[in-house]
Order: sequence, then C-alpha cells, then structure tokens
Amino acid sequence: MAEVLLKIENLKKSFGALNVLNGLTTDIRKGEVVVMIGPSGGGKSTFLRCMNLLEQPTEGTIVFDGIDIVSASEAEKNRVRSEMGMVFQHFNLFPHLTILDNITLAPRLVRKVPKAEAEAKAMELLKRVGLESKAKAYPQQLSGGQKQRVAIVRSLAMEPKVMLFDEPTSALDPEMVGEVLDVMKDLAKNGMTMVVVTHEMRFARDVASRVLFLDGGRITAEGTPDEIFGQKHEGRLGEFLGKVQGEMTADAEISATILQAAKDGKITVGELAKISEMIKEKQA
Amino acid sequence: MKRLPLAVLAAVFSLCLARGADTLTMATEATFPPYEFLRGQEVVGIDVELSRAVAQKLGRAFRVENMDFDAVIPSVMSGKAQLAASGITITEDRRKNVDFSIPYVKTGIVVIYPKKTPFTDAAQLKGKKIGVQSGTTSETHVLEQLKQEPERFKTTPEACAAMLAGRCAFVIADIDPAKNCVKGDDRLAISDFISSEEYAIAVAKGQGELLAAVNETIRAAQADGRLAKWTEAYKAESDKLKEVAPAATAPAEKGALGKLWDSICDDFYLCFLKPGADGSVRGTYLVRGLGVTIEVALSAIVLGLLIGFLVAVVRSSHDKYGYFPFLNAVSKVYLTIIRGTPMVVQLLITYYIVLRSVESKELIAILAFGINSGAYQAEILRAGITSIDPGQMEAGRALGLGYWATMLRIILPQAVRNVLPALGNEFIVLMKDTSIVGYIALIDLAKGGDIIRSQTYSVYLPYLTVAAVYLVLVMTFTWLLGKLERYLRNTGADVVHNNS
Repeated sequence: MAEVLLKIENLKKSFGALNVLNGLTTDIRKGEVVVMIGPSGGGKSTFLRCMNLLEQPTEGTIVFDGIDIVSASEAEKNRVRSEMGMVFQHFNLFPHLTILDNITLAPRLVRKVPKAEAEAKAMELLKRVGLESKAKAYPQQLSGGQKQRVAIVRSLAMEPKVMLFDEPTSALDPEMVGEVLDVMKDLAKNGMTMVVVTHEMRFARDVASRVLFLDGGRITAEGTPDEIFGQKHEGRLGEFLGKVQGEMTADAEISATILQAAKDGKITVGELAKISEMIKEKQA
Repeated sequence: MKRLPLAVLAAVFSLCLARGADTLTMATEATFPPYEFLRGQEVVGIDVELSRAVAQKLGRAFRVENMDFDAVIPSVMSGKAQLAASGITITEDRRKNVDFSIPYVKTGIVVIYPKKTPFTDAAQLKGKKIGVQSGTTSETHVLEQLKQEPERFKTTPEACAAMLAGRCAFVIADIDPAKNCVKGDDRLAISDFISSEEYAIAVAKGQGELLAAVNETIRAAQADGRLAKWTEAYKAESDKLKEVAPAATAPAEKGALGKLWDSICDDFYLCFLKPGADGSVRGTYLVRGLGVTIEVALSAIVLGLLIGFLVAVVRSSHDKYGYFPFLNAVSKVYLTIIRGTPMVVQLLITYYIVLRSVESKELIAILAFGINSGAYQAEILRAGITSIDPGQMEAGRALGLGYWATMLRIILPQAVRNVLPALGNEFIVLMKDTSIVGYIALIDLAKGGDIIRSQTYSVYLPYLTVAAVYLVLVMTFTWLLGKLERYLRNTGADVVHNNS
C-alpha cells in the first residue's frame, strides 16, 4: 500500500452548538482519488476545509508530513496550506489580476520563485488545460469552465502534494462540466492525490479509488466505486443513491429528448437557452 | 511628496528633542501697524524691534510667531512663546494670567464712524451695533461699559468694511489701527479717545528675570530715543503700505461697464501685482499659500491612508475573525473621538497641547489633518473590505499566503477599487478643510487671500480668487481620480463579459 499522506483521526468540528463533524477517521494515501458523496449538510465541505485548516477543527488530529497540523503554529499552517491545493465551487479567482498573475502570485510570494521561472511554469500548465491564449486576460473575460480550469492550474502551480476539490462543477453551466472533469481525470491519471467533494456520480464511479459516504457528520459508508455504486444498499446510502441515480437517468432522458427536438428543428435556439436557464434555476 | 510618513514621525521626535531653549519667541498678530505688520513674508514693527532688543540684551536667538490675536496671550501661558507683544493693553483680567512689563505706549480707544452719520456723543453708542476686533480691549469696552454684545471681527479693517456695508453703526478700535483705517478712506472719521489705555509686553507668570530685562529694554529705548525713531519709521512704512486703489478717474465717455472693468483692473494690480515693501508682489501670498495648502493636503491624505488602512484592517479582521481585540478597542476609541469632535478643535488641541513643543506648523497641520482624515478613510476602507467576497481571503490562504499578505495583495486592491469614489470625496473634503490652518497661523491659500484683503481693504478680488484657485485645485484632483478609476476599471472587474 502507498504511504499515508493525511492521517485523520477522530476529527470533530462544531459551530457554536451545531456539531457538523462528529468524529471522522480516515487515511488519505498517496495517489488515491477519494470522492466524498452524501446529502447536503452531511459535512463533506466542512471536512474538506478542515483538511487544509481553512476551518480550525474543534477536536482530533490530522497528521501531515509527520506533524499534527491541527495544533501547529500559524507559520506552520501557512506552509501546510501551500502544499495542499484547493479548488472552490465558485473558483475564487482574483478579479484584479490577470490569469498569469493569478497563477504566479503564490509561487512568487510564498516560494520566492523568480518571475520568469514562475511565468514559464504557469504557461506550461495553461497549455496543458488549453488556455495559454488567456494568459493576459482577466478572470471576468473567461467562461465558468475556463475559470475553473485556471483555478486548478493556480493550485497546481504550487506543486501540491494533494489537491482538494470542493464541488468544483456545481456552479458551472451543464455544457462546461465536462471540460473541468476532463482536467481532473487527467490529473488523477498522472498520479495526483485528490480528495473530491462532488455530486457527479459518473465521475465518482469512473475515477475514484475510494468513495466515502458522509451523513450527519460521520463516514457511514466507505468502499471502492464498485462496492458503493455496483450494489444495492439499505438505509440512508441506498436512499441517497436511489435519488441521485434516478435524477441522473431522468435528466439524461430529458436532455436527449430536448437535444433531439433541437436537431429536428422543433425548438429554436432561443427556446433551448430558455430551457437550460430553467434547469439552472431548478438546480440552484 | 516632500515628506515620507516615517520621516514625518522622525521629524516630530527630533523637533521635540532639539527644541532650542535659548530662542526667544515673540507671539504677535501682524495686522496691527505700526506695532506689527507683514513686510512681504517678514513680520516687522515697533513691537518686533523692542522684543528683538530684549533678545539681544539676553544674548538669545530671536524669532517671531505670527498668529491670531486671540492666541497671543495663551501662547506665552503655554510656553509656545516667551514674549507676547502685539499692542496688548494692560487689563486686570489679563494680569491674572500673565505678568506685564512697564507700558511703552499710552494710547486709547476711539470710535470710527462714517462721515454720513457723525459721532458726537457717547450716548449715540447705546443700543447700536458696534463693530470691534475680537479679543481686544474695544470688545471689553463694549461689553463692560456699554453693557451690550459687540459685533466681533477678526481685524479692525474688517469691522470698518462691515460698517461701510451697513452691518454695524460704529466701530470701536485702538487709536493707531483706527487712524490706519481712516487714512485713505474719506468716508470714515475718528473721534477723541473714549477711554485710554497702555500697551505693554506680556510674559508668563513667574518669569522675573525676563520681565526685568524687558523693563530695562523699554526704559533704555525710551531714554535714547530709539522708541521714537522706530515709531516714526514704522508709521511711515505702514502708511506707505496702506495703498488705496486709485480713485476711478475714468473719462466720462466710458460707460458703466468700462468703469467697472477699469476698477477691476486697478483692484487686480493692487491686490496681486503691486510690489510690497520687500519687493515681492502681493500675489506671492497666494502662490506660497497654495504651496502650503497642497503640501499639507497631500501629506495628510497619505498619512490618513496609512492610518485608514491599518484601522480598517484591524476593525474588519476583528469583526470577521475576532483577531486583534486590543487594537480593535483602541481603533474604536480613536474613531469615536476623531469623528465626534470638530476639526478646528482637533487642530487647536494638537497645536496648543499635544504638540506644543513642535515648531513646524506645517508638520502640526499635516499630523492633525492626517489623523483626522484617517478616521474617515478607515471607515470607507472598512466598507470596501467588507464588500469583498470571503472566498477571496480563503483562496489566498489556501494557496499558503499569510493573513497580511492576502490582505495586502488580494483584499485591499479590490477594496480600494470599490470605494475609490467615496475615498476621492474624502480627499476633496480634506483639501478644502485645510483652509482652517489660519487658526494656527499657518499661511495657506485662504489665509494668503485674507492677508491681501487686510492690506488692501479690497474684499472681492482676494476672496473670489482664492475660491477660484480652490475650485481649480479640486477639479484637477477630481479629473485625476476619474482617470485612476477608469484605469482600475479596465483591469478586470467590470469588463464586459467576453467569451471569445
């Protein structure tokens, strides 16, 4: 088995009287792609944000690089964060900086990489995601999918040991989800250790090496994609999977029908846009 | 920028330390010829000669501090100056606060009246509006002898101008300024003494040695005729100084507009171009004043920005994350005090109490205005910081940047861009607010115009010109801010969505 990168034990987090995480224990191993699924409010995002200490856990330990980072000094925490990439649902690109500056800011400030070197590296990464022509653009000039690809590149520029993804495709128009998932699949293929919170069950099934089901602040089920998606389950997990898979099938059928109608010229482009607008609203 | 903020602080401390104890400072208001008046930028007059003689006698360096008359006696009480010599009349009230030398002039107060309504009898004063220079014995005379409220003006000429404009019936003033006002204005005349008084030099209580030196100097100057000589020379000079616009002797065929134009031209020459006693034109007051205004305003803006950034970051960090509880409490007190008290009062407190040992009035003004503006800028910037999506801070921290690095490189640039119009507004208010530095006797643009008005008795041109210069200043600044705003807007945030 590969070495353990993050050893998480009995992690708890509460906001005032609200207990969000109720004692989570798991190991994240090098090269693993861990996908966390579960109903909203189950603690997936909070768990992810505790891993790089964006949220300070109330209790428990996270051992990274041989030290417990939960009780580490502020400087140590900054160093730890610089070695973990994080991709947010809403991209969180810096709107006042160009794409190139978004990517090179942290390497230059934190790692003291010379400007030319940082930019060369950034261009190489941008090329990998097909966005080298946008280097001088500002985030507002990019589509959602492009922004998220840049956000991934921004994290990669720090050469992280692990990448955390917090619902990276939830804020995207449906037609842009694919381009972002492709980049993530490519990363996984190249051996990047990844922890992903997502509602994309197909991605979980195809890419994950392990799936965690979080409910009520606990890991209530855990297994390979086959174990999670390939079998019938009782209780909350069964309920949850039934719901999302049912939705997936229904959504796929509806999309196919609509697309066919558009191809046949039965509905106009304008109407198609209206429909996708309605779908987006429904998802929100 | 002439001074970097750190250099400003360093200067404060070095000034505090290096403050020469051996300089004899004379406090005066130089609008009282022939006793003290401005020859170009220099204060001259009988009181100045007398005080300089005292300094020579004591072997000390000598300097003159020009300020409002109301501030002259307080400045020796607070130790900012050692001698108060400003044609000060001996009164019992003043004796409670300072010690007086032997009198060097016996003079008195008279009534200035328009020839149209002659003054013949003291009973005429009763119940009328009486103009006086505030802080003078004339004011006390009206209050105590006539038992009525006077109309207070900053200077006697101002009171006379008001009388001619019908705003008061008579003006009561000391004999010399009264003579000065009447000279060259044949609409005015003066009465006999209605009360006489004696001028003396005031020193702080308990300065026996200094007082003795002053008394000896006065006696010597009276004995050897120097005092008489000075009086004659400065009276002559101040008479020359008081120039009156040549009477409009426009040929009859000129129309009303032509006459108006001629009088404007004459006025313009008198106010701005006529060389003063030291050879520099009067307009120099405005040019130098503009320099002071710009220096004080820009330095205060920079200082205010520094304070504002610091306080805004402390306050918003505390509100969002609970950081810096102590600094937050300090900031709150600072904001409450600064925003809860008038700017003028803060300026006076800085001058008389907090930084009383600081010589440079520019520095005092910069600090007072910078600290004041910092409070307003802090709240504007705090609004800007609060408006930034918390995801920006998270993204910065997730990349390994520290809290301050994220603040400086990611949050603040966006915050400033969001609040630039409000910030620009604060800069403009500050720029115009600096016109109150006259209170601490700093000659800025507004005070420069005031001095020209006090020397020429011309009201319209100096003030309208000052107003126009401020307007141009503010418009230039607004234009520059607009350019900055457009530049920042073009870098990102508001660019039209473009998916090419």
